[in-house]
Amino acid sequence: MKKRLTAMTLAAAMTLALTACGGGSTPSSQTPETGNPDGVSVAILLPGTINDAGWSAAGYNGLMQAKEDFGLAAADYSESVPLAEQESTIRDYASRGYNLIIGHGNDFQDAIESVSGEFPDTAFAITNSTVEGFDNVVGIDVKNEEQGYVAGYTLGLLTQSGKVGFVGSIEGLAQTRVENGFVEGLKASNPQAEAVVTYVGSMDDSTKAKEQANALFDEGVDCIFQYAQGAGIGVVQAAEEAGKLIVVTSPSQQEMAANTAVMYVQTDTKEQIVSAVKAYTEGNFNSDLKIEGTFASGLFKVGGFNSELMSEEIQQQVQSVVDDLTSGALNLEISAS
Amino acid sequence: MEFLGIFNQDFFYTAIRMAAPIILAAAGEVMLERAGIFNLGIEGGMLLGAFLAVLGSYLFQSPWMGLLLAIFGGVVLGVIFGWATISLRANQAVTGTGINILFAGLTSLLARMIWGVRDVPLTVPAFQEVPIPLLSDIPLIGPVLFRHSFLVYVSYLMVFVLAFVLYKTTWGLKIRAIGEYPKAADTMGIHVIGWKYGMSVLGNVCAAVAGVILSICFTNCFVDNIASGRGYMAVACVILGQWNPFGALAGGLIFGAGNALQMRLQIYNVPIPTSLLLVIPMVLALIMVLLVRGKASARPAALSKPYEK
Amino acid sequence: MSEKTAAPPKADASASYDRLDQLVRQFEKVFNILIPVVAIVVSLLIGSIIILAQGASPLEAYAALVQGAFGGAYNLSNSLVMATPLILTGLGIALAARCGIINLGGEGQIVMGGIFATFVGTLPQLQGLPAPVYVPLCLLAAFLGGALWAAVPGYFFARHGVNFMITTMLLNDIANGIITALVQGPMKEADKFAPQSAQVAVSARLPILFSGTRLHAGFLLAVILAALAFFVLFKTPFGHDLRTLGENPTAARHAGIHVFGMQMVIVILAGGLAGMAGSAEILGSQYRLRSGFLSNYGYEALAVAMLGQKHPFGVVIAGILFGALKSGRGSMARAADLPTSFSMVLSGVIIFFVAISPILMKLPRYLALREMNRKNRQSGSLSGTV
Repeated sequence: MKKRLTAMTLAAAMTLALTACGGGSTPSSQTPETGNPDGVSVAILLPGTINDAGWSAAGYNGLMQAKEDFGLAAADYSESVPLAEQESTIRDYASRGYNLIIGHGNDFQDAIESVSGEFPDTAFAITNSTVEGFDNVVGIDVKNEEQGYVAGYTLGLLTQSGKVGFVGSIEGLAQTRVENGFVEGLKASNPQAEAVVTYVGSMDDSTKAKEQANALFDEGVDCIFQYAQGAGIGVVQAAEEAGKLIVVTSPSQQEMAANTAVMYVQTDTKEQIVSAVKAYTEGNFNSDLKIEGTFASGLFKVGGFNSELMSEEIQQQVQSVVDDLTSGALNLEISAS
Repeated sequence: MEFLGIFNQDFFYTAIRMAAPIILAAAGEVMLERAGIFNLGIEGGMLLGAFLAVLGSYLFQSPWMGLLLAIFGGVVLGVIFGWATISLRANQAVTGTGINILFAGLTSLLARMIWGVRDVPLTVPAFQEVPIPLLSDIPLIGPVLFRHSFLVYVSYLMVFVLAFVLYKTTWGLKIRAIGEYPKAADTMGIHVIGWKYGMSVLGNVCAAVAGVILSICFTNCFVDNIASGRGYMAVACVILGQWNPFGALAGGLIFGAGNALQMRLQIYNVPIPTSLLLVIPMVLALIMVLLVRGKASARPAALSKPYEK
Repeated sequence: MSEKTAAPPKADASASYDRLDQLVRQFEKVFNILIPVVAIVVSLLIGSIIILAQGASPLEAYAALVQGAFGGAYNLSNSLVMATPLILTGLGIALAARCGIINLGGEGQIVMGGIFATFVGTLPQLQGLPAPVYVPLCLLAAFLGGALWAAVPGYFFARHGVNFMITTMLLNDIANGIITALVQGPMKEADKFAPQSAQVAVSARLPILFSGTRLHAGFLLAVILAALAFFVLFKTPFGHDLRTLGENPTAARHAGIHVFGMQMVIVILAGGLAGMAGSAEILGSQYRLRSGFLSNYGYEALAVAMLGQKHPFGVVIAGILFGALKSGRGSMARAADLPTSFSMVLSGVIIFFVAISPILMKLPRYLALREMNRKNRQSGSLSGTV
């Protein structure tokens, strides 16, 4: 009895509070300001944290650089957006008048497509997706396989043992595309070499990732590529401690493994965000707009060639593959399945 | 038959290494549960320890100061957990859940407040591996058992120390009495509340030091959610090990070996989806729990029951 | 509480005790409502220290939290949508806890419910079914999925005394492995790359209750089931037996209650409700299966069950509170530029305070009794104890 009364009184109090707060606020969307990028405010939704040393960090860094270089009125982010909270987060940004809202990853596609109809003047972009039939939603097809391809190609040239390792975080679309590109790249430069693919099963368990890398080395792998987000730090450390060659995904990771990191293959989403903002300000944001995430469009950057670990010749070979990918002479047809 | 090659020295080395933090936390939890308190918050304690270790090592440029700070943090957490569950008689599972969520958030938040948003986490001085002279040169077992960080040795030693205390000393007798019949223990003149507080501190310090192993023994930095479920595994080990320190040791080794195994099965390209290979340690533990079953009497009779005079 | 009290021998002392007892009971009614509120207020105060340390204004942050949770029909509906799986799972956990079983397996049971509901909801052979048949079918499948995931550890617990907490906890991780494997393989949408299932059939979805909001029929279902749970728990012999078993297992055995059967039924109900929670989210909101579609809800539902004092209606209120926190925390983080980890800190502190609040509820009785005992000692009569 006592408890029922408790519950009922609480319910009444809640209802009261709800009616008090719930003044019907209608969604307001600003009209796009054309011509001047200064007035454009952009928001990005990230699946992970801004310091995950991988996918989400790349999205965040890209937006911050775009803000700096391009002068955006606002550049905001939401990190670790759970699947169940995507739609409300997108809607919150849209109703507060953000002009361009980016969902960083294919997971955001459903939520963006369902919200977009309500905000016809807001532009939406989804990375790692192809979108059709929406005037205000553009998919940015990120060809992660190119990133993996270059890493695999490089390590194929460097391996002595013929066993090349890959450590990913949790299997997902981007991960699988990188993995497939990696396998293809390795095949291209060294058909005899074996690609040994493993996943940590976590985005942040760096200790386990380190053990996974060590297990690879124990089994005869002599060089490795990590695409394991925050957990990847463990792989970088394992490689440095074991003295095994590694291709990393950012210059700062290369500093962590100064003696064994041969180069980095970085994701830099700035250009994609800038392209979307440009298209928006120039009034070209419609279903015909195509933004690609490729070497050609500047999404991936290769650098930090370590001359002590890579001969001049290998460096040139790698560079020529990058050039071919950039020029379109080499076009990867790799499915993610 | 190629698979049998998996079980080489490296396999056992990995298994022992990966098991260490789980075993240490589980050994502490055994003592806590033997005194009648169920601590689900080990994960939170590990995260706190891992964070404080990096903080201490960062501030004083010495891993020893990191360890000291983490132990201090474990003591404080032990007192807080004890205050909630012993003095205020809060539900132990719920308090633990709260601590886990709280410290997952707090450590991540503080790390960002102190070190900012970084591309790669800040690295600090860490403990190095200490091969034990002579012993580490024994063929086969030397490299497997005697080439670890000193805290890994401590983890395994703790099991023996705590087992000795629990079964061979009057202190242990008192602790077990408190977990079985607190009222009787009280009438015998045992300071029930005091001992419970003591075990709460001990258990949380063990959890915190397990976190230290993760952050400044195995690696040299703090990353968000560094414990990644090991705290829950430690809780599982206690039950799996029938509230006996040696049982917890065996439980921890099952997790360690399970992980070492799944890592190698991935390498051998076994035709099983990776996401299923990754849960091999849990499946092994589940099978063991169902098989061992054991005597229900092994469970301390007054476990999870707040003591009221 | 009053059963334990030794009846004072003297007539006048007894009368004064009864009077006091009545007074305390009335006071407790008010006090019990206050406690959870105080717990949350204290948590918000602690949170404001962190907000200040971040250089933001707590007032602004919490205003954004309230606005994000309750401001306008959409936000309000979003809070209720977030609350739905918490209420459903929390109901099951509360029922089990009433019977003395702590279910830490909500996480895995939710996942299994989602898998089963999506499987039925995407089965080509069933696509033509009308909604009034199809939706219940999916919900039933989800119930079975969750129930199965709880019944196996439940059987080993009830029959062989295998610890229920550890087995369900391990099964959480195993369920996550299974869902990840499924959405990459057998259940993946045909001809697509992304690791997710196809969308469930339109006629398998829970209808949206008010257009322009996100509120789907799953919330209604949760409230109805809460009412049902209340009825069963307090108005039926089964409910009476269940509570007896939880409060005094020995007495329950002596009273001839079939413990094994009772425990199995409860475990199946708890798992089934969690399974339905998973399906409510899939059929009412996300429409397709993805790995981690409701991560952490299982553990939060435990807190919801405890905050709701294991009472079905309490669970509804507590579920809405936690749903509101989930719904508003994004707005708060954006308004005050706080990392998402802040909302974890807030939930953690709230759960901690919720855990320690029961003792506060005994405070009035304790104080009253102490006062009476003091007076009685002076007049030389026996004393009552809490």
